[in-house]
Amino acid sequence: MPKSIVVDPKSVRKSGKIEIPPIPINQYVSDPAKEGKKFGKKRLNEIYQDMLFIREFESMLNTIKIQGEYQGIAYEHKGPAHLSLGQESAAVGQCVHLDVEDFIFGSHRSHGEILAKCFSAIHKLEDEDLLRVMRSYMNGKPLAVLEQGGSGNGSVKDLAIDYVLYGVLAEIFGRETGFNKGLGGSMHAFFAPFGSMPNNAIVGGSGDIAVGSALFKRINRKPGIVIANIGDASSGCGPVWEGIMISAMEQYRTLWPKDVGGSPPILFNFFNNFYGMGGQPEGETMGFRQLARLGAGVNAEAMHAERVDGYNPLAVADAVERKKRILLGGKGPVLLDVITYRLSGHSPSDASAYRTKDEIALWEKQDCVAAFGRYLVDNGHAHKLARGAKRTGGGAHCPHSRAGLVPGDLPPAADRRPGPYRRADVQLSEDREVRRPGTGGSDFLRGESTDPGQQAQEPFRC
Amino acid sequence: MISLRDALFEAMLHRFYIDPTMVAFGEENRDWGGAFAVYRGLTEALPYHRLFNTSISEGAIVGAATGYALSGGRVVPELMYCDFMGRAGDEVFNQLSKWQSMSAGVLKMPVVLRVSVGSKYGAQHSQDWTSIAAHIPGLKVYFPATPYDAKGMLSLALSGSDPVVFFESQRIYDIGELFVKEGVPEDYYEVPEGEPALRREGSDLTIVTIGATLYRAVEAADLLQKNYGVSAELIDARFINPLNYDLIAESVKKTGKVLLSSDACERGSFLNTMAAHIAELAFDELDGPPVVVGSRNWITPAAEMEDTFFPQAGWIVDAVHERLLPLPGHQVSSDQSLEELQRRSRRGV
Repeated sequence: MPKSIVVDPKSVRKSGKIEIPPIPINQYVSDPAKEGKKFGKKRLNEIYQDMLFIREFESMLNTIKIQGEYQGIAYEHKGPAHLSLGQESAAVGQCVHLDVEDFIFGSHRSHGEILAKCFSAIHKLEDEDLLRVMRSYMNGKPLAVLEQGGSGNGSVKDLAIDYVLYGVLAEIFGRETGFNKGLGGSMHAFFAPFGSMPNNAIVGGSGDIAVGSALFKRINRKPGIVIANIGDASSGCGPVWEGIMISAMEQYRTLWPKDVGGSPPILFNFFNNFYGMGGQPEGETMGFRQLARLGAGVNAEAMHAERVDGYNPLAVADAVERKKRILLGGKGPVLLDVITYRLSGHSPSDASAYRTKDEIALWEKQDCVAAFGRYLVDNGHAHKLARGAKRTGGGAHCPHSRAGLVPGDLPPAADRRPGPYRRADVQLSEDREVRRPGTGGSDFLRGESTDPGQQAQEPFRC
Repeated sequence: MISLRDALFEAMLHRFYIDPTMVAFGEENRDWGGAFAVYRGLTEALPYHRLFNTSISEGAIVGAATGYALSGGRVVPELMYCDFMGRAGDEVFNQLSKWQSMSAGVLKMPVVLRVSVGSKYGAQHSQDWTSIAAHIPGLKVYFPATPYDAKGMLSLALSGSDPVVFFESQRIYDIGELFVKEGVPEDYYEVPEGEPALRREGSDLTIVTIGATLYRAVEAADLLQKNYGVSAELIDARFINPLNYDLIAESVKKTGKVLLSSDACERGSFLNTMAAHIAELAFDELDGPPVVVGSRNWITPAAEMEDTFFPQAGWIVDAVHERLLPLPGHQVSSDQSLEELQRRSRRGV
């Protein structure tokens, strides 16, 4: 409450009108020639490959849940699996222009997002950096499994793709060699070294946590943006609105020091698949009609909100590229309403009794993976049109075998392992080294010195 | 005389100096020094990006702190009253407490969530919710009741990588150090984690308290000594999780009688967990079961009627008389009998 902000009755009692800026809906226009020049054949095919992998990965999980086997290997997965079949283009498109230092936080339905972010990092990082990450993460334990199985055909990129597929699947299956030692599982899995940050089983849970991460980057002058990937129905949740409110505070631009850089670089990315737990937001449980409208209620620039066609990965890539510039310039927050559709049920046990087969068929006809494959072929961009992830890259990627659906291939589920590994060991980190002495100096207003022996201000003492 | 709030200030200022990532935020943290003036002076010392006011968004205050910490920074979010933890329920109980576990240690959570326990402000602003924080795994819970402990325990909390719910009592922000003879040291120091503090030595019974109830227990101990020659040993638990029972068990084995008291409502109070553990640790030496004196299982009434709700010195003496050690000639003014315990439980009040 700075006295500098004066509440002047003359100005607040004046009459007038509030103008709401127009909010664009699906404005991206595809231009294959331009897109070919902008991305190049290699990048476009990587986008397609990434989508194929996610499609195959999620289909594999679906098959395992429903039939108890996949490609002849029997396996019972007891835990949850909220699949994103149909949403691949939205996840992959988002990561096209993201770097490793850009963070994404997600939801319970984020397998595709984890893979997309990791693949994006793999495409961009040098081999030596990829090897360094894989060798050091969890003391190289997940990598050891891959190396035992002779993965990668000598290509570091292929090895890294196998590594990510394995680490995520092993995590979903509660294995100690999963990326979170099996303690996160399907709904909480993540891989921080590539910028895939915690995914949250609580609807909208990432809505305020991601804001804190964006504040960390802003306050500590760290590079990158932060994206909260949440669902359309999470727009009914308090934490999401509170996160938006804190991200949109005017003080970042009016009261904070200019060199800190402005508003925190946070993008609220609603993956809008038109269904939420227990209700349909558009038409039933929310009032906005189109989610992008929500930005209009928050600040003068309506959060730079847009509805984007998530079924076209290049439309999503274009939106993220433009919004990332806005965020890095300190002009956030941003809201994106990315429309998409899940072909599978909420989870494999969901028979989709709440929607018609005709509706699902409408979206299957426009399947985003097949559509992008056709786009590549039609415009001369395709290497060759592979049918499934198993066939890409020389058929080297077989996540199911790597994940040890073969019984006895993997260590037992995390909790049952006796000996040094115990869940209680990770509950409290007890890390007293997290003291971070002020090597760079702490920002203070008074006194030049941040030497604790020379305090800028006398403590109150009598 | 350095007060409890000044002691907290010193711990905060020190950590602001040595950890450049440390930030603090909440409602009314900047400009006015916080609702209880703990931050008075910090506005002049710190730039906005290290100390700022948020919107009234308790959930996101804790949620943003969670995200800030797991991204690599130290953070002190404040919820003005611990009653407001309800508004940040998911963030405290499902996010802040669990990400270290769910990430298998990949993430750290250097968060000290400062909350205060009120009084005189009625039903929604005067509750002691330490028991609720105690119940959810993954949280450390501290509750200092003296200036020495306030500085030493806040310093301890700020030095670690785990989430701490740090309770303070509004009743005693002004209080000076009454137990440590040397007062509050000017230099940096930490209180050893999980260790209760022996406030007064005694031989006839042990009284254990959490929070500001300590001072009413001191009153009760004085009454017991003066009127009945009963010597009470006083222990201030100050830590709820982690908690080392050694000192308490040793004391109870010596005295054979123990009474526990805090301002938390009796039903589901953490004191009952302590009582059960003490009974097991010192069963052979106990003359009778541990006695718990908590607040009534009601809403907190108006200030004028608070003495019917929170534990009073008189209740403690009455409970000693009724359940532990009959005091010759004592007239009770409150009902601490087992029949009353059963009646209340039957009625659910």
